[in-house]
Formats: sequence, structure tokens, C-alpha cells
Amino acid sequence: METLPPTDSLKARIAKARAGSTPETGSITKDISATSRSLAYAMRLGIEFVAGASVGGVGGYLLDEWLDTSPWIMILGFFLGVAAGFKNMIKASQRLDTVADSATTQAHSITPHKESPDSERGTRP
Amino acid sequence: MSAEHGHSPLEQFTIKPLIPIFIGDTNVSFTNTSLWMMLAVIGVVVLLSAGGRKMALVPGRWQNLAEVMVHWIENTVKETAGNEGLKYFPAIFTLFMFILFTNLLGMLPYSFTPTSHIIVTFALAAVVFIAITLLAIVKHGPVAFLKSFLPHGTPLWMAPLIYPIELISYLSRPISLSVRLAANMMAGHTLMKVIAGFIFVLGVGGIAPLALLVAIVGFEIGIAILQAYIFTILTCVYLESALHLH
Repeated sequence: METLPPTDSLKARIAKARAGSTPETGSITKDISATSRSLAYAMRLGIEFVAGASVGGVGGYLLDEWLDTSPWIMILGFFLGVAAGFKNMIKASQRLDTVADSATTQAHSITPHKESPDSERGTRP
Repeated sequence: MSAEHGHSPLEQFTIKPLIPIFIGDTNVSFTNTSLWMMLAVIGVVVLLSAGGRKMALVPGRWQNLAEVMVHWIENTVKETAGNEGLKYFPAIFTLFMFILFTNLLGMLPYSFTPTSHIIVTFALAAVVFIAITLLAIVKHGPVAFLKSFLPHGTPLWMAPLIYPIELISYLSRPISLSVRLAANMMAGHTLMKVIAGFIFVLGVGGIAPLALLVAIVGFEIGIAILQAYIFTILTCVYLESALHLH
């Protein structure tokens, strides 16, 4: 029974050490990964838009070839593709808000000093 | 001039046949792409079987590494696609590990990055796209699948406009998925090669591009992991939309 108080203080000391050490050790890697992550997300939005426009344009072009109506379906398809691209972009940026948060916590769990994956998993919705 | 001597920054992407094989007129040679994809598969198998060999209660180094990856992707699948999506976890995890290893092996000097070729990433994206479309059709029936392109509560007179837009947006998924991965890998490797080209040309001043290159290599390793993760998380998002059709 006399061993209880030391365990408590140990727990407190561990918590204190953890709180003090994490911001300093992780700051440089966090900086690089945050920059690369936001760059990747920015690039993603651009590609999302271009993919929509090109699928619309190329799809319209192929339909034109098939139906012999050049160039009308391609023009229509391109504009619809641009609309689809904008829609994709808006959807992707909405999703990023939620994904970015979980990616931050997830990306750091790949570092060796991850504590307990099971307790972490249990609390997630 | 430099291009003649084989120092073009794009030279690293040329496909070279290592063992020429022809079936009829079809070229099915074993190339450097094939080699590095095979090495990636071997790497994944070695890492995961080394990690899964002991199944110790207190994991060792290898087991810990394997467990971290499995838990990471398992969490991602669970969060984005829900518990229903866990049924497809093995396929998604295989996809993630393959892309991760091809990306990371590409960071080794003198290696080759298969994922910098759009045909490789497009094949991966097409597999995901076809599988998820079939899953949606089998699970909900073809009528419900075709209806899902019209969002709930769309006025009927808007349907001729909304339907093609939604259809194009759906069809553009494999394009954006594959172009993103290939463009990221190719841009990064070209940039590294261009900066590396400055180092010897500048003599002593080359220390500045060298320092920059060191930073970029670290940055690129981050991109390699991140792009594999983005491919995976988008697969999960598409899986979720196929499971629930909205």
C-alpha cells in the first residue's frame, strides 16, 4: 500500500516531461511535413479541376467522332467538364478540412514513439 | 549539350528493357519498371512477413513497424469508409504498401520510380475505379446506381444539366487520382535532378544547391509517403460513396 504514492508522482512526472518535450523535438519535422502537406493539397485542387475539364472535353470529342457532329458535343462537354471540375474542387476542399485534421494526428503516429494504438483507436468516432 | 551526354533531367524516366521478350509482335520485355515494381512487392512481403513472424505480445522493431502501418491504414479505412469498409481493408492496404514502396524505393540513387509513369498510376486508379463501380452496381442494383448521379431534391428541369456534370465528375476520378500521383513523383524527381546538376557546375559555390538538395530530398520522402496516403484515403472516400450511394 505504501507503493501507491510514488506511482502517482511518477505518473505526474511522466506527464510533465511529455508535455514539456514534445513541442520542441517535433517542431522541425512538423514544419516540413506541414509545408509539403499543404503544397500537396494545393496541387490536388488544381488537378481536380483539370481532370474534370479534360474528361468533359475528350469525352465530347470522342462522342463527336462517333456521332459525326463535330465540334458541338466537344464544346458542350468542355463547359460541362469545367462545371464538374469546379464541383470536384469545392467538394475536395470541403473534405480537406476534415481530412487534414485526421492526417495531422495520423501522420505523427508513424513516428516510433507512438504510445498505444488501441486506446487511440477506441476513442475515434 | 548536356542532353547528348545523357544528363538530361528527364533521362531518369526512360524505360530500358533488361530482358527482351516478344510474344508475336507484342513487346512484353522485362524492363526497369518491372524490376522496381517487383522489388517493391518483395520489399513489402519481406517487411510484413518479418514483422508478422513472431506475433509477440511486446512487439520488436520489425513487428512494431509493421503494426504501425497496419493500424494507420486500418484507422483511415475506419474513419472514412466506416466499419463496413473494413471488409475491403486487405485490398486497400495492399494498394497503399505497393505505392508507398515504389515511391520510397524511387528515392534510392540510381533507382527507378514506376509511379512517375502515368500508365502505372492509371492502371492502379482504373482498378480502383472499376472495382468500386462494380461494387456499387452489385450492392445497390444498376437502377439505383444510375439514379445516384442525380442528387436528392434536384428539380426535374435541372436534371439534363446536373446529370452530365455529375457523370463527368464521376468519370474524372481515375484521371485526377492517377495524374496527381504521377505528376507529383515526376515533378519531384526532375527538380532533384535539375538542382543536382548545378552542384558541380558551380564549383565551391555548389554548396548552396547541395544544401538545397538535402532539404529537397527530405521533402521528397515526405511527398512519397503523403502521396501514397492520399491515394489510399481517396480510395476509401470513393469506397464510402459506393457503399452508401449519395
